[in-house]
Amino acid sequence: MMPDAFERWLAAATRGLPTETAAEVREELAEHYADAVHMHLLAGLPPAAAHAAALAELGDEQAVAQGLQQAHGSARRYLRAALLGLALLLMYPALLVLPGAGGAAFNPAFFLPVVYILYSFRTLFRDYYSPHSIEPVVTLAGRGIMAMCLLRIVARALYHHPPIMESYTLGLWDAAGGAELLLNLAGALGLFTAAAAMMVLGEQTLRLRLAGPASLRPLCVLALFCGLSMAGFGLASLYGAAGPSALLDHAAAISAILAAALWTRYFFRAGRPLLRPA
Amino acid sequence: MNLKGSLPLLILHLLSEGPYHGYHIARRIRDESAGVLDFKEGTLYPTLHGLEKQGLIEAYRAVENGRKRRYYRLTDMGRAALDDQREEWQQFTRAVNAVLGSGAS
Repeated sequence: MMPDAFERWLAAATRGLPTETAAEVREELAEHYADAVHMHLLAGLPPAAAHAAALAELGDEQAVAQGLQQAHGSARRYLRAALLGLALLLMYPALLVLPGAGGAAFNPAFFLPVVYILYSFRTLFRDYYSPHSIEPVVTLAGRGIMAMCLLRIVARALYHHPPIMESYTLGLWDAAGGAELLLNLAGALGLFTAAAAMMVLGEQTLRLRLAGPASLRPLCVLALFCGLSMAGFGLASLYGAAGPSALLDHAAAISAILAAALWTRYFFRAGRPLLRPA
Repeated sequence: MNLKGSLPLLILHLLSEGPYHGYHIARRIRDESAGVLDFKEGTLYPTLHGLEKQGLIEAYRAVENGRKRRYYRLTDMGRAALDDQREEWQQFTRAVNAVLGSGAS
């Protein structure tokens, strides 16, 4: 059984590595540690002192983490993620100008950058902060968004929704039939789930910012704003309010774009040694 | 004494004698230098993994005293790299010695 101090050292030393690699490295470092403890015990040290000496011999966990990240190309991994972020970012305005794209508001593609950002959050937090509380929130948000996107796609395919500017005038309760209404309600539920998760995520991020890089601050604010505007849009659509619905929808779209841009920049920085564990 | 820079050479040299695991390599460096080449043992692993990524060494799993261990062995490319690095090191020490010698006279 490994002592807590070594477990913490191990977690910090293997941050930022791909999951499988991290598991292998942990196993190898644990072997090293077990050997060192064994040697100290043979030399006559009491168990607590043997563990402490073995840990001290391993050295600074941040230096080990940095070296391992360099050896395993973590920077390249983050740069690839940044490029993907840029591609997604460019995809959104491209979709807006495509003929027959149907506009941004009800186009499920709008949420792809958001899903990407959420999963980027997950990767970053797992690698650099390891807060287990974040994972369920991000998973919930991702599922909520995906559920809503799928339901929107089904609803559009089944009921041939009108072009976007007209659909602003349609409220949830203006749906033609029972099945359409159910789909709309389920879609709205997905939206609320995603919005709630975004808000919790923003709040969690704000807390973590205290221990992390200051550049996370705009992301926290945007995550909160994105969640609030998505919730507002969902609420407005329930009552078919044309003006506020359209306004909130655009606010959500703009904040998602800004968040994607900032997140991309953040990943570019992570590709360099600038983003080191705090 | 700071090992940075010479650690890859020392690892390649030790592995030219046979396959070893990380702890054994760390102990050999410490013991054979009589503690002069002191280093934090955790930093050995980034170097080992870096050498593995470069194809100079390869890792494999084997059981020792009932425990699974990760061993490293030198590759052909590693053997060639060891010859080059050894030669560079000798040139370097000759140059430093020459300067120190000229200063002493």
